[in-house]
Amino acid sequence: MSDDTRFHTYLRSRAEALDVRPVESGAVVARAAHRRQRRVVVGVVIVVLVLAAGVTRLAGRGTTVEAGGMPPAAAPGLDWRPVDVPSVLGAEASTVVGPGGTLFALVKGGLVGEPTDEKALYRSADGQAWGPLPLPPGLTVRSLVADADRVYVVGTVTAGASTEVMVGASTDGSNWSMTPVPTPRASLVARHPDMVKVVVDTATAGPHGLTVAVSVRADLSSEDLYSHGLPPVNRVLATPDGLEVYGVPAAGGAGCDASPGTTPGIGPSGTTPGTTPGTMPGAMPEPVLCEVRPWGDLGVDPELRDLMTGELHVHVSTDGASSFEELATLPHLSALPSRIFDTSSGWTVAAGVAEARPLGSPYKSYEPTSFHSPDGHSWTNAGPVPISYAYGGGLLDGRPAMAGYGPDTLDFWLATADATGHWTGTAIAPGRAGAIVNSGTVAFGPLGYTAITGLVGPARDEIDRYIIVTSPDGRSFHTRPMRELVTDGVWEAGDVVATPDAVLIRIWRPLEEAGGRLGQPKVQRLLIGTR
Amino acid sequence: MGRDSFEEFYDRTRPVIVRALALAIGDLDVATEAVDEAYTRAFARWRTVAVLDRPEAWVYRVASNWAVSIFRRRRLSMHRLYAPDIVEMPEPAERAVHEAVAELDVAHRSVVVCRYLLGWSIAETAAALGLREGTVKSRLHRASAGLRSRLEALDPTAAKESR
Repeated sequence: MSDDTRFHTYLRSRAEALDVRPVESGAVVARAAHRRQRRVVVGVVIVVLVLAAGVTRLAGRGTTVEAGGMPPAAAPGLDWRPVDVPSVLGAEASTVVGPGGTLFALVKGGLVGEPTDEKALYRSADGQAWGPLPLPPGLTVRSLVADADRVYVVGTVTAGASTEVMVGASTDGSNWSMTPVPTPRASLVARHPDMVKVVVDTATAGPHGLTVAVSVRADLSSEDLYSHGLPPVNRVLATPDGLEVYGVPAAGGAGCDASPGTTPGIGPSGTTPGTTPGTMPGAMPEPVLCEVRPWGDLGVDPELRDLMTGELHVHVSTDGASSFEELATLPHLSALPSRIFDTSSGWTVAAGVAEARPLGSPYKSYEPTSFHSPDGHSWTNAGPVPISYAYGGGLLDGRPAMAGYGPDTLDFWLATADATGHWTGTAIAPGRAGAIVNSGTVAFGPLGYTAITGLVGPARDEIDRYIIVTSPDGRSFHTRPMRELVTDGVWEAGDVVATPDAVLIRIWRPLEEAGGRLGQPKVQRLLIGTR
Repeated sequence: MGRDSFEEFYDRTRPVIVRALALAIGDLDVATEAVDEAYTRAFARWRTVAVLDRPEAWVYRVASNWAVSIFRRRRLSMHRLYAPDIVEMPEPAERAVHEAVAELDVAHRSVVVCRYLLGWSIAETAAALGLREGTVKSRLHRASAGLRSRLEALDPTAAKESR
């Protein structure tokens, strides 16, 4: 019996044993219709409030995302030439440009075909041949950053129950000078190591130096929730006041039922626990807020309550990572992945964009939001970010920029922020063409923006699906089918890297299996784009 | 396409997608929640989703992303798999398959589920999960390697046959 057959037989057997409770399609249709109606109502309410309050800032800023559709302006494309190169790097690489234009790549797995959770560092002068470098021992690297003088590795060092944020700095990646970033809330972390977690959220290098954002958050364990009658099937949301518990309206319309097994919307037709009278059989009632459990009732130490919704601590070093100063603490953000941009006009934090948000989720979900500070000390909410799931970010024409799925859409969007942190965006690959391959296929650099977008569906091979989108400024675009550049058979697309004077797209021949193991990418090629 | 087409699509694919995601993330409740959420979104933009070559792959991906976000928000482990009673798996080889699947993380297990339960091709699995085809092959290879090592421990002959 082959592996394929064994897996198929086992999974089919396990799947058939699962009792999937039916929900009629009409319930889904009803929920979608209800949601659409509610959006309209909410939109009207917001507009009324905005007009009544005269908050022209919100009206002007929060709604300036443009509709979908390809931008009309056409930009000149890059000149591409293929170069066959020796293969070194694995599939998941994060590449930055360091001193003298040297490329540094942090690679998960090191070599293709030997996937591992270990990260390895490589260096290259031209993106064609790469050599390995040592990483600081004991450092769990979260972020690779570089500027014109140094390359930095930012991560954590764990010793026992304590976690310390450390930054390694080097001029060439060979030797590292290690400096700790002050641990936010150090005393609380020390007293509550099981509840309070410190994580490097994001880091960047820019005109103000090296910026490192560290998140600190306290959390209740599943055991804690169970002990207070809140099994994890409950929908809960941490707020400054306590834990909001969501459920379905209770039978009879009084109160709501947040007990286990009443997960909204999955009851059998006509017998859904808590179905509101008058709704169609099998209808999925919208979850409602059942109660707010104050933190005190959940046994949370008063000194930890501010941390239940998390904090983002922004640190900066102006001396090459020899010392760090904490600039600001942004509350209620640490649960959300962020991206931070440092430009001459200050810092912009795009919070909550890296995680695909539940579009139209019936309970509170975080809307991607921008925060801006001209000096690092005073921060303002600069409005929404029109990217719900970011595939890449960087500076475009001197402005913060991100690319990914747009708001409530399948389209692939490019968005940029102005000098006050206000974002605008537009669709650059509509509909199904927005199915980008992965995060490594977007790059920002001196030549502008480059992305590989892919069509979902059968094709002769991957290259047939890909379109290279370039833009010098985020306002005008050029598209080119990759097949025009790769005519000799089947290739797989790798990643995109922006260097000071070129854009490198890495592709390789499909990996061969030999002796039960995937081989190395024996044939690898760069498409080098220049202007 | 209109609502009738959505209903046909929903009736045909929902049970399969719920089961697949449940096996991938190890939680039937969350999987059901996530899949229903994904179908709700699919209906809201059905005109766009319907023209995809595999709309159910879109649903699976949206549901999977949604489930992962829920797990993260609730700080739950996704590295779980149903552990059936041992009497349900009397054959050692079947237990070996179970262990090989159970040891995978969700990202790897999703690939196995899409390929071997849903029967999607390498390309379709890659497109559905937003991966390179090489990554899909690599993850399938890892799963097979785990299975093979267990089978070898049980019976070297069985391991050879499994290749």
